[in-house]
Amino acid sequence: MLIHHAVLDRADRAPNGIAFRDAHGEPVTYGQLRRRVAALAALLHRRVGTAGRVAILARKSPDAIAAMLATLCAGLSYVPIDAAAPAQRRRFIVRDAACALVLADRPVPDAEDLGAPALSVSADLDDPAGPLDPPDRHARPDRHARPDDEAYVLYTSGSTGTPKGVVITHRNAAAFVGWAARAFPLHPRDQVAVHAPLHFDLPVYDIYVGLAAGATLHPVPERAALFPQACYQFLADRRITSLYAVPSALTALLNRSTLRAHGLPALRQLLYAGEEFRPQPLRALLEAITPATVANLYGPIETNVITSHTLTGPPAGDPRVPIGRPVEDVLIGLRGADGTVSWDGPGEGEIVAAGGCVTPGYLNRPDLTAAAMLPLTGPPGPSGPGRGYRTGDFARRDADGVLHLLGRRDGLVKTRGYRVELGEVEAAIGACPGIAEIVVLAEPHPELTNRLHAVVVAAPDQPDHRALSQRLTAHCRDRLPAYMVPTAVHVLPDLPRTSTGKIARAGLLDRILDRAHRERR
Amino acid sequence: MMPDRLTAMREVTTAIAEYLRVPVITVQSSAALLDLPGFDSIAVVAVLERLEETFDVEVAPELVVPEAFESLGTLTDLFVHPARSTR
Repeated sequence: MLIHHAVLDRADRAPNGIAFRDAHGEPVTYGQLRRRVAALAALLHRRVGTAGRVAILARKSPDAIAAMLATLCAGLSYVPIDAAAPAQRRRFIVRDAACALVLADRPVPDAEDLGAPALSVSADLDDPAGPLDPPDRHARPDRHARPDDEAYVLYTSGSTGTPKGVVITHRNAAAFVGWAARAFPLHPRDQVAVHAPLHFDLPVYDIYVGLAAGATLHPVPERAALFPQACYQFLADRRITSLYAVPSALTALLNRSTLRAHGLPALRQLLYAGEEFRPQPLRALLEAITPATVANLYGPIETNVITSHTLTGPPAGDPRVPIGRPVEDVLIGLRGADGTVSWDGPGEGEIVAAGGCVTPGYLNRPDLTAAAMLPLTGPPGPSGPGRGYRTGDFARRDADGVLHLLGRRDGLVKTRGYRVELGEVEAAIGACPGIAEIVVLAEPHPELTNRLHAVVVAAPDQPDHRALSQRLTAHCRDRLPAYMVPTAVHVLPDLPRTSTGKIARAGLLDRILDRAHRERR
Repeated sequence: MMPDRLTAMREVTTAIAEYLRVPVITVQSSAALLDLPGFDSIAVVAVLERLEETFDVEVAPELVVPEAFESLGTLTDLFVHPARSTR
């Protein structure tokens, strides 16, 4: 069954249930959702045809989620785009994905030149003068997606300076949604927070598992994400029962809201993913929300969740929380230094995932796809073709078959749950006039996982380092999403080198932090 | 330290401008602080921490809400009325 069919079935069976509560707490019933999806699907079918991509450039809202479902109903695929991303990045994505139409929650000025016509995601589809011609009003799309058709594309940081689009087919999405619905079932009484942004893979659980179960979804307003206390108040007032979020957001909630004092009595399950949760704040969080079930889900965007670990109590002492065991229909191999992949038994190596969840690859980037995929001769895959996705993460498998994350092989870091290729940030800064040399470093941070520092050498004609730092920052903000803009810029007379002439990254971070510390005194 | 409001507002403005790496005039002329480029959740925390240190005041979490970041004036009020802040 395709992921949106389960949602439509639920809507047909229980049209009076509440599908959403919007930012103001107003209800949207499943029946209303169903009608909107059908009308919008008919419109998309007429405007786009039987194949193509639709960009969804909108903040979290019932209308934005209805637009995703409508796109799938029309047999098309959607590309959610961070509405807060700089115009240049939005334009790149719309063009790279060759989107035929943009559904936006705000007027898109012609000057933005996205390369595709834009339509309001909240267009009044019942208005006789609205965008639907009367004969099409109740037309149903005549094409249905097949399992290997693309369902959506999620863009993520690319090491070469531009974001890359990860293609997720219906089969991929259904593999995750099917497992998640069995492992962490939701019910019509559940109040589900949609916390992470729509261009992330976490909301796939909230939306497709939640709506198929008849639960009520509560999109968390973007402003609340900036203010832990506002977010806490939202979760408490809405009596949220299921929350799926990244550890940095949860740590901020713990440290900067009244969560510790008042808890979340209605919460029955907390899922987290995207980065490692430090044991100390995790322990405090578990105490604050007991007796809710807590699970650590692991997996890159290319596969969605591939391992899961349900915590049975607070982590003892200070060990890192394991990422757990492979989920249903996923095989996890560990690729050793000699290139051989071991599928069971204790050992260490790079995590290789095989199964129905693995993306067919990156949009327009066969080179990146080839580099990330490993042809497998080894044991028969559960459902996928004979290939595995190399995650770039290293892990150890213990005698019980439980996996423990060890680290990365490259310049990919996490910040606020997002993954960032340091190379992409360096490429963006390197293009800024007045910069002679650049290196971007990640400083571990208790709440944000990592904080980015740009260390630059100014060109000889740039004596005003303060102005350069301001200009460089503005340059980044025009090109990169907020989480990729370095939080600090350090201008040095030169960068330390190793004997082979490469920039000596080791020790550089301590040096700049020392210097920054001294300057504050 | 109990600063007068004008001095406090100058500190607040400088803290934001330095953190966001924008000219002071950009901060002074912004209609809403949260619309300043780069004013994200990290900036909220970093600016708050710096001002807490400067004014030696701890702001209660319940007061750290979007309304407090509406303008330089509302943000300054968090620090010049410490009675409110420690409520």
